[in-house]
Amino acid sequence: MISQMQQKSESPDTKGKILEVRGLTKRFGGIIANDNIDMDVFVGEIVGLIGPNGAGKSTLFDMVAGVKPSGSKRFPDAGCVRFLGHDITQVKAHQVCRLGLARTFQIVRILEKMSVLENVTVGALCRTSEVYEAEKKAERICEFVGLKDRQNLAAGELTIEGKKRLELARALATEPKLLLLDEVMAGLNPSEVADTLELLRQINKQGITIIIVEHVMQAVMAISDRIVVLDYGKKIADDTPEAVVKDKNVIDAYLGSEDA
Amino acid sequence: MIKDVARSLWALGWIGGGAIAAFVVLLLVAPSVASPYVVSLLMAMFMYIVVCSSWNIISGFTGYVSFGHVVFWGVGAYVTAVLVWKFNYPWPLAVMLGGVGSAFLAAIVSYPILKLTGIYFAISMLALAEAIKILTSHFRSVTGGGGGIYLPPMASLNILYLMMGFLALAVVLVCYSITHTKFGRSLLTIREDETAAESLGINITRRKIQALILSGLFPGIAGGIYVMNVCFINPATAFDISITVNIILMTTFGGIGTIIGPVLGPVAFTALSEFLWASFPFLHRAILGAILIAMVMGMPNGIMPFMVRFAQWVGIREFFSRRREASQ
Amino acid sequence: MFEAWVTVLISGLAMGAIYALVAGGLNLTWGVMNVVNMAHGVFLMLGAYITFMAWSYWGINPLFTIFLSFPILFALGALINRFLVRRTVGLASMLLTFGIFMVIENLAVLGFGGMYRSVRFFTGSYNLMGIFVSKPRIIAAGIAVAMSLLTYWFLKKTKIGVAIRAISLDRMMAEQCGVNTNQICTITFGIGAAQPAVAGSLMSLIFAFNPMLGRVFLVKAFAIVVLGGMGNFLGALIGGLTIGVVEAVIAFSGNLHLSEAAGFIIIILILLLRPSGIMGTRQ
Repeated sequence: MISQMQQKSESPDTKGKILEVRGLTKRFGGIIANDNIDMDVFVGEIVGLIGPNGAGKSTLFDMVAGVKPSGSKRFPDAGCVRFLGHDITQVKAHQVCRLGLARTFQIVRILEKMSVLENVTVGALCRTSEVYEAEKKAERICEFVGLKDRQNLAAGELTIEGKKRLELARALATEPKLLLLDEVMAGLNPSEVADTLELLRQINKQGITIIIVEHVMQAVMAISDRIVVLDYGKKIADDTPEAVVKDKNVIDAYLGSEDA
Repeated sequence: MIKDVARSLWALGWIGGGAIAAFVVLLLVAPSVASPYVVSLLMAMFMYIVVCSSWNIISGFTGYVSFGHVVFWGVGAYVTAVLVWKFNYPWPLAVMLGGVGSAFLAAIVSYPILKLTGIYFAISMLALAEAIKILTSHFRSVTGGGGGIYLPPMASLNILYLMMGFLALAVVLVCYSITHTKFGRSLLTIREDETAAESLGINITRRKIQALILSGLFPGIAGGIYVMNVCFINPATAFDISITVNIILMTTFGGIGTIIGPVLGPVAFTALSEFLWASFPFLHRAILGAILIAMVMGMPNGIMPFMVRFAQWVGIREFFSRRREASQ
Repeated sequence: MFEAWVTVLISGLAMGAIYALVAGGLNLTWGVMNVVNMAHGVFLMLGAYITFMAWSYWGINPLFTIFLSFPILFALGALINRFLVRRTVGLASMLLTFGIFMVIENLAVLGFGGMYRSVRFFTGSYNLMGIFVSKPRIIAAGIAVAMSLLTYWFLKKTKIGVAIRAISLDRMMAEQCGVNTNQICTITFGIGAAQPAVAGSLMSLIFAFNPMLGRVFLVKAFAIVVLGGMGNFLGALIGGLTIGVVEAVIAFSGNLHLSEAAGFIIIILILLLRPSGIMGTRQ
């Protein structure tokens, strides 16, 4: 069944939607991390996902990508997730990746002891079974993201900017159609933020849809076609950036304060 | 994968190929020039190279440290012994089937037991070994019970020695080449971060199971060869926790997670054991225990870091250096 | 038939009480210090030998030798922790304590010889309403229970005990609150060595033993701790009693061998089905 899903790139009834989330609910004990969330993402978009800390953004990513959050079961308590028309609600993370959905993590999960190139090669190995080929591809990707000069360093030796970029490169190596980026700008200074924004625009131009969770407001506003706002697990807004900053619910949720 | 294996073997180059050739020559020559005692000793050393390298696959490469690896060796020995003694199988076939038996055990337990991690996995493997030891004693009609099985001598020492030597070479080459394949890279990734591995498309459950089965296969064959040589096996010997400890000790000394570690360890310890047996026969285990303690306290990464530093000091660091430097 | 089963049950519970004591010590080191003490079995063995030697050379009543084995092993445990164990955790501690096990066992074989010993101080059985229960077993069990209760009181009510429990929940927080974690851990490991020693002393009254006693209890102690749930004191008690009874029942109705395997099979089953144990809440 999975191989069938890999052959089709789009089901006829998706109307250009790459991701559909319906009624997604996830509880951790007494806390409702995701509360009946509905969300659509269209092919080629960049969607920003924002909200105060603890609003449920990373949990949403976990549920969509089939990742097991710590201390909990893997799948949502209710709702469904459709990727390119196929139901991936109960699909495990590695199969989700093979279908073309890649993600980065809020706290980077790079393989510290391996080199930068070896890290990206692991991603490339998702699509090829020859290490040699994967390495060649990994080199190209390192060059694309600007890590070529550091590609033989141990991953643990990179700066935070390098590590974030490495995780991005590794995710790109899996040839995703949809990229979920979790706070990929956290800890970066303004010029690094600008560089990353430019990189994301280039990635998007190649046809990759992006959902980006971010606290760095200017970055999200600058790059997103559309913004979804979460608060206490619920979706409270879903509109263009200009409309969202004026939305009363959003302002209340943030108590009027903005980061950076 | 075949291309990666071929490429990695080609990368051995002159030094690697020469080392292998030298090993094969020494292997073939030894029986003619050395006493049977030395040949036995070498065979024991090769056996530990086999089991240490195999243990390294699941414990070193994949990061699931097993405290019960002797179970695979013991099952292999028993399957071979039972097939020869009770069912009159030809012994070479029985030895191979010993490997099949231990791999089969690995396959059955792998799915449930690999859900555990860290200490829990280690203890479960230990418990598995103990449980199999007791079950083997129990089913005495098949296994001869606690008294064990005696086999008539059927194979010459030299033949078995050669088998063990080639098995050791094969296992080391297998370990070497898998680190250059997608399978090996997947295992290394799983060891570092399972969640990240999964998010990159690696089917961690399947890979872990494959690693465990692979690491159970070769000790089974080695156990079969062992039993054909010693001609006796009983549960206490087959599932002796000391063997597990020796495996851990040797591999940790040589360097867990490396290719050469599981070779260096047995070589060093075989030499050391001989010395200890000769000089302090009654304190053998105590001294090994003391070495284990010293190692955990002082050398958690084995002897390799010290050797690398020594080599640097002597000025031949390129020989040992594995990581390409940032100076490129 | 009914009497037979009741005898088996009581016998199992009695052994179980002693097992609970054995597991209690392991529980402490594992739950509090994250140290997997593979030398646990040999501490038990040493306790048995202390009792034996005190009784056979100096004629000391075995019940009083408990006051010998406890402090001696406490001191030994404290020393081992102070200089060795303290620096390691997790898998490394497993290897380290295994080395300690190897050293102590070897020295014991050299020092005590391989023959079986026992302490025949109590013999015969009590008659409880027509049911006969072995005297040494009941007395040993009684002392084991008393010891377990004493430890429980210690952990709940004394300052040191509370500190120990604090460390087991959150080591860093405990340090922030002024607990000298190094010292407390040394004490914990001392208790973790002394408790199995007392259990060993008690066991010497019940059956014969030799220096290899440590091996038998190595994995069995883990089975009990795993069954009851790591770090959970009450769990160790329940675990011990359960395994005591299960062993007795299987030995009585079937096979002696299988009853030994019972412990190991239980570990595997519990770890797979409910890794936190019957009572445990920690991962």
